[in-house]
Amino acid sequence: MKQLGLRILICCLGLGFVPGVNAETVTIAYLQDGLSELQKTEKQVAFKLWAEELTGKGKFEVVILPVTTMSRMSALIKAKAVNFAILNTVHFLNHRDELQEYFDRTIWAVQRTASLYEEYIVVTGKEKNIEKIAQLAGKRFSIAKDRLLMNFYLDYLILKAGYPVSAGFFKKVKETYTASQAVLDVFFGKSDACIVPKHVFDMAVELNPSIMERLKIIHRSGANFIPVLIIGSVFNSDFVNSVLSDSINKIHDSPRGEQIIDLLKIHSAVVIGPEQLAMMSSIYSDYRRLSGSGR
Amino acid sequence: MSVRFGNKIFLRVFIVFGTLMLAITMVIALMIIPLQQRSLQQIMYTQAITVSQSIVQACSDAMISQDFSFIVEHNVEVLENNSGIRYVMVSPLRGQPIWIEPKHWELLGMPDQRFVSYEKERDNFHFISISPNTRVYHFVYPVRFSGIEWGWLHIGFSTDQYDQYISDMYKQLLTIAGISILIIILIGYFFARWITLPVAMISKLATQVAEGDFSVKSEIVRNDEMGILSESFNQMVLSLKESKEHLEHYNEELEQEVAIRTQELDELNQSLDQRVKDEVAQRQKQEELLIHQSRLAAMGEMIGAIAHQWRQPLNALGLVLQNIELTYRRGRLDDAFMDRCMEKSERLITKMSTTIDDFRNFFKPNKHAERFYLRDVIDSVIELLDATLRNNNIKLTLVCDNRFSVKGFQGEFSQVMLNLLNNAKDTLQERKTPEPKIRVEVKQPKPGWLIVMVSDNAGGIPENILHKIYDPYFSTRPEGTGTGIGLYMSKMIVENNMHGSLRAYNEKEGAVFVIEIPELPGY
Repeated sequence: MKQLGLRILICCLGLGFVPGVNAETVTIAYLQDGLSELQKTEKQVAFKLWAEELTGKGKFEVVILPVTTMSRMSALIKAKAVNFAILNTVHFLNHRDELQEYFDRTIWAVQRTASLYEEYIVVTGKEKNIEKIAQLAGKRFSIAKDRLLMNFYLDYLILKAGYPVSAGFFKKVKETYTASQAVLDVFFGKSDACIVPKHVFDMAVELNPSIMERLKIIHRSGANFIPVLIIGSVFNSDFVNSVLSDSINKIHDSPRGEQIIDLLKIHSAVVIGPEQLAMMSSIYSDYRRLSGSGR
Repeated sequence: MSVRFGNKIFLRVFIVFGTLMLAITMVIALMIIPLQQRSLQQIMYTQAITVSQSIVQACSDAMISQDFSFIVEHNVEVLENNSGIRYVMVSPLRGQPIWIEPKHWELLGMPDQRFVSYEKERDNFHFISISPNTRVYHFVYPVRFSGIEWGWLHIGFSTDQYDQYISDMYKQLLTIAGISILIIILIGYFFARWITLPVAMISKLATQVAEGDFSVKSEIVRNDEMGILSESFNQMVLSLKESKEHLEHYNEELEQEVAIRTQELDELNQSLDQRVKDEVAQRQKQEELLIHQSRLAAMGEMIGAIAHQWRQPLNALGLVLQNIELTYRRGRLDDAFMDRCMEKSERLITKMSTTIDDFRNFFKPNKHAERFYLRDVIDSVIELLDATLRNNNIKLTLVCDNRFSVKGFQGEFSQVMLNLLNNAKDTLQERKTPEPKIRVEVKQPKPGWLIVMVSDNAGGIPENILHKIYDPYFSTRPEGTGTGIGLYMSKMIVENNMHGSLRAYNEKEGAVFVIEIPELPGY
């Protein structure tokens, strides 16, 4: 236990020690940027439980490795020091071409709800007389903290609305601790509008139906977004892949797996193909085009 | 030997022990319940304080900036993570109260007035019902920052766990009580058996001893009072056995002694009749002697009286003789004078002779009881004593109705009256009482009864001798002048022959003798 903690600490401090891929150690790295929620205690506990389960099944040592930057993650992947990487989809789309040769074809999509895709909506007060994204200019806006994909989509919407940069578009941007809090900000009048996943809004309305009476949705993204991906290294043995795959597929079959899912606050993880990322890829390409960073 | 539940001592010991132990168990249980409840409430209070402080601390910035979205969000999360909290109500001083439940939250237009009443100076709690079957521990916590009051935090904690604890506690106590009762019954049985078995054993042996079997012996060997009792019992049986043997031997001796005594008694009985006859004869002889003495004394009295009666006629007769002599010397004696003197002399002699007859009749004993008038008898007695009384200047007063009569022996009653009047006269004479007087009064206090009261003014009978004046031979007179049998005889005559009573007492002036007699004997 102490040894594992020490190794994680060393990696976090970037002291140059790289856990090797060998028969006895499997490293699962996650990128904190875009997934900072994984730093929460209960999710760390979930990781620990998952690692123990995998260790029990695979007879190898499992290391959960937090990585602070994508460049560091890329380096580790290229150095074959990571067996599996957990990434925000934005980072995946951003570095897909660069790391394509190191990624296995099998990709797991993490679902927060029963649906594979998330839909984002822009919500505002009914009394605000705001009907279009463009009307949000100069308004107070709330958005959940560290929601990289949602931020990306908001930037996309602003760009699409004809505004060059998102930074000065709003009068004030409030980062809330949770997505539902962003809805409540608009409800209590602290913000003029917010962007939240549709299921979060539905949940908020379920908790207090009067929200629906006072708020309205002015934009729906459509169910296109997969927020988190788990990608295996092309260097993994079939045994390692099968152990992980078996663990993820049968995670609901055991109390321990249910506990892990519950602690991570996710619904499940499913294998997806490239086509299921097509819509996101299209939006991402459009975004890059609008922002002028595309090819 | 076995001890049954029917055995009274066993049953009593068993019941007393069982009741005592059960009472102790129940008292302890009843003491534990409130303590446990208080302890659980203290735990809930501590938990409530911790949760409240945590919420207030986490929401402090939000509260100050009135960031209600954070407050709602945070408390929704709190409720999600704490299944034991049923609701949270954040009640700001300015703004609407926010009601948050695990699956619902809302802004309250008008908070529950019951909750508002709980918002006092400091934190407090109440057990309240929020639905017919749901009870909560409602905790109220004041929200203050830097001395500024912001509002109140209400948290409703589920009492399920508390109720479960209490329920479990009752179950445990019932289980313990049940086990205790079983243990008490078991221990009580053996304890009562341990106490009563030797007693029952000794009781049985004692019954055998009582039936005469002295061969029994207690086999109880214990190092306690029961052991001592057993030993003492054995010694007692041994002593009883010896005593019985002694008693049997003594009985034999006693029977022999009784036989001897019986023989002696038989012999004594044979001679006792003769002795009784002798004693009765001796007694009769003594009584006859007393009567004789009494008669002699009466005779003496009579002779004295005759002497008094005769003194006057004798003087008169002497004067007649002197007149005859003087007349003769003067030569005037003639037949006429002589006839007058002779006639006078004969009259005087006749009177003297009559006096003797009167006295003789007075003391003549009556053969049969007959009715007589008290007045006549008392008058004749007074007449007998008249000369003596006048000679001593004693004034005698008689108050008696002529119709009062009784049936009896007149002579004996005369003797009684003579004794009483003579005694009064002698005492008046002896004490030289000025203006001496005697009063005789006869009354009828009730039909069929008469009382004769003889009183004087001689000063009375000394109290120290009042109780023995009727004793035979008791007299206050100088030796030779009184016999001491007058009052004794009078009492015998009144009580035995006339079926009445004679008593005496002192009045202011002197003694009073009271004769109470029935008009008819056996009345």
